[in-house]
Amino acid sequence: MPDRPTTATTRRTALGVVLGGLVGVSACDAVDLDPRSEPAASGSPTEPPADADTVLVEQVVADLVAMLAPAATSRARDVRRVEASFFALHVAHLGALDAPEPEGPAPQATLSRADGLRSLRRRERQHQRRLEDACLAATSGALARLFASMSAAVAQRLAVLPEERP
Amino acid sequence: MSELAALQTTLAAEHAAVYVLGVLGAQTSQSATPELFTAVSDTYAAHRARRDHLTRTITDLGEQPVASEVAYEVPVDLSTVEAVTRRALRLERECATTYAFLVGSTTGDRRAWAMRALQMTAVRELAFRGTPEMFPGSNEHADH
Repeated sequence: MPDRPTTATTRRTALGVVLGGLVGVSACDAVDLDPRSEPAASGSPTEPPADADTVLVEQVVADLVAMLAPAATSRARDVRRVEASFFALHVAHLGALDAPEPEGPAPQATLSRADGLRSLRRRERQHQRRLEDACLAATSGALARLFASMSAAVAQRLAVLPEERP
Repeated sequence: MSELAALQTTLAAEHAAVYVLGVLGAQTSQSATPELFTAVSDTYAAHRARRDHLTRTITDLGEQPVASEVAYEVPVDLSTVEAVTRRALRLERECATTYAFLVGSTTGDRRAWAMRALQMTAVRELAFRGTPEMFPGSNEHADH
């Protein structure tokens, strides 16, 4: 998995963009939850402590980056199309969290059709569960809503994933 | 918005959904359009169950659940499969937005329930010729 800078500025920017870009969220909520509105801790002049939602965003970003770097993909063309659809989804989700698309070598296309589908289904289900956990753990309602939407998007694609044929 | 107000808003949306799906169901035929009939029937059952769940939840909170309207607006012309499908898809997308809103307004078990409802609604969109979205229920993120 490629390294990704996780500076305080990145965390603040990500959560600030996530919260600030949401429709229907009261200004009070956003101000209360944006780490920029919190006073810096005494004796820590440069970096405020990360709050729970900031940590959640970082964890989800890390998971998305990992989803974009599988160890191997399928040799079957139709499975690769499905994988590309999931990849596009994860890139869009990274964008919503104000995180850049990671760069790295393309994974090796070594899996059979059935193994590729099985691997994809397993990984995406695990990712969906992590998004659900993040949704339930989020302090901010706006962030919970975003994670729930991301989880629903994965559920939609899993619902149309072809069955594995022998 | 308070959790109770969000639950009431969602219940009001489910009252409308159950009504509209009842009208749509009356326009489908089990013999002529079996797939659409099944999709509308299943969706109707799902929304009824959620409406009843929301009613119980609000009652358990000691509050009076919001009542259904007498009638809701539906398209005049629902004579074609396309028209019924289009209206059903629109309804599911609207409900996805409602459940995303409920997720953001609740915590704990109620948020978990709303999250599952959003997922199921998003998947059900596909039965009405919907295509997978990037942000079901939260389309403001799509243009990010």
